[in-house]
Amino acid sequence: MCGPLLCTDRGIIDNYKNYIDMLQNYVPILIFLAIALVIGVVPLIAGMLLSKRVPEVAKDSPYECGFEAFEDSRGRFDVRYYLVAILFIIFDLEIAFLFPWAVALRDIGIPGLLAMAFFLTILTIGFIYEWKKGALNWD
Amino acid sequence: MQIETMIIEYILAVPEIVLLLGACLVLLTGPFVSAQSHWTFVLTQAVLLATLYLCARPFTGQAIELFNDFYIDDDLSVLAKSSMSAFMMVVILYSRGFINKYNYPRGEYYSLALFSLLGMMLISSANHLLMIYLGLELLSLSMYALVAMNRDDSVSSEAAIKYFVLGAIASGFLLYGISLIYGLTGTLFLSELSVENEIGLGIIAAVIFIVIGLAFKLGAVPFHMWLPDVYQGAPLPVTLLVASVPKIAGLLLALRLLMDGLQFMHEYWQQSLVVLALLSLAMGNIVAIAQTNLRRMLGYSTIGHVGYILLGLLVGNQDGYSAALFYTLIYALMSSAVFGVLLCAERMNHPLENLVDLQGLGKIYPWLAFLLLLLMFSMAGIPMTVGFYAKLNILQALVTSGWIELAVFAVVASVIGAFYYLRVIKLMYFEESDTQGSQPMPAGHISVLSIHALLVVGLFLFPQMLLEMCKQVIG
Repeated sequence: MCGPLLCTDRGIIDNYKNYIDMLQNYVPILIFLAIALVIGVVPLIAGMLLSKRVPEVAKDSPYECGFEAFEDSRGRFDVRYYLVAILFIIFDLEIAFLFPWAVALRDIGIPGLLAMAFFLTILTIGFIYEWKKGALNWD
Repeated sequence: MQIETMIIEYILAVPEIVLLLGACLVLLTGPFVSAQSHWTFVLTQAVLLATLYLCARPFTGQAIELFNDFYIDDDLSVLAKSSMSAFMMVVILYSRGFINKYNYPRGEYYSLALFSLLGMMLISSANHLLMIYLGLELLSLSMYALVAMNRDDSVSSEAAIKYFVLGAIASGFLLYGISLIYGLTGTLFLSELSVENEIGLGIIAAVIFIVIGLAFKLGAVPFHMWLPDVYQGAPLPVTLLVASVPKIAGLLLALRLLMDGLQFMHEYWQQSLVVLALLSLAMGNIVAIAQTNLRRMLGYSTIGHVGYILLGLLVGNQDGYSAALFYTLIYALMSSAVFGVLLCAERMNHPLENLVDLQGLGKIYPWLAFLLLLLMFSMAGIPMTVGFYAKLNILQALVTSGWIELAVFAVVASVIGAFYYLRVIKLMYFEESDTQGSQPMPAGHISVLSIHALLVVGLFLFPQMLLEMCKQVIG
């Protein structure tokens, strides 16, 4: 067993050349990584060195609005947040389905169009139901 | 040609399509009419009637695979779908009085019931493991929501949480088994599973996972924890629903998985089913004796009956499967009638919550007590009621394939079980109570209930047709 450099066998040297060729394909990625590193790190360092620092409670907290990041987990908050979140997820999923569907629409043709129309109809029925039930009203 | 096959496919799926559209319509009607409106009820029954009409057709002995073989239309699915739609009509009818009396959200109850029926119909016609899973989830999710409908009641919420968590675990088990099967065989089509496969440790593990998932859903010991809680905690109409129609779907689930898909693994899942059946028979019948709550007692009685159904399944031949099918249909008939009696009594302001509430029912409401007496005889398997044939069939299938020990055990278990069924009768007829029956019986409810309960005698006298049907559909 020997590494590629030590071997004199013709096939192995060919293999080694292939290996180098293969690596060359990845050079753009290496350059990309280097640039990404520079873009990511340089502003941080520049900011650290050049900016004025005036610490303040609101500035240091992770979020300026919403819930406290750390508090007693048994604290109460309005159950309607959940409702809004659940209703949001439905339409979020709808979008998630619509994007790949739109890309593939030419290939799947009329049946695809009908299937999506059916899916949207079902969602709309749910939407009408929740609207009429007052789930969208905050009060 | 292409278009023609497509049209035929959709024609065969018309019952499901109508049911889906109907369920959506009922859901939409709910918020648009007043809370006291009877429209949702009328629409629901119309949809169920249409579904029943479209499902029911004479048996042809053929199986047609449609929608890229995901779906199968055969005699078994026809029998299951028509009986489930018919039972659902009865269930909705019995539920109505309670729903109106306590002002439960009507549109939601009815549409969730319809959606659960859709899930059950998908299971009955599934020819693909993912199709089975899809149907099962549609059924289970509707059921969780129904059980949790009485939000302010802590017992109800507890039951719903238990049901939900254990149901999710069961689905997880089932899915894990399915994924193992896919990894090992490369297919999820039930008809392709049985073609050629070498049996290794992997596929045995997959089968065991699937059997566990199945046992959870059926409520077999030791996966039965949720069942008595749900029976006791859920609102009475929901208990009626849980206790009747999904049992047929559960059996169809077992038949599709074990008979259609994993028949080649018969000797492996048979062993698991033997254990499950023995435990269910023993536990169901013995623990039921200790119950004081009537609904909880019926929950344990269900577990005992599930043991019998599993006995039929584990035989693994045509006799066994058809006996299990017959037993399940009869069990759904008896169980829905028993809860129909409870709902009827509840409507007359005489709720039968605990066993003591039964005292003197024979004097207070003689006709109702008589119907309950017939049903209890039938559940215990005493001749002159069809419950006897159901048990006899299972025992016959067991004995002819050499499982004599199991047959003896089953008989002993049902003798023990007869105690608590007969105790109900003793309480009704041989105990005194100072309550007076003042309320008139709700006419529609009691007339349907009478026909329903008297069917257990009628089917004892003429069981041949149903027995033949059950034999015929197991091809």
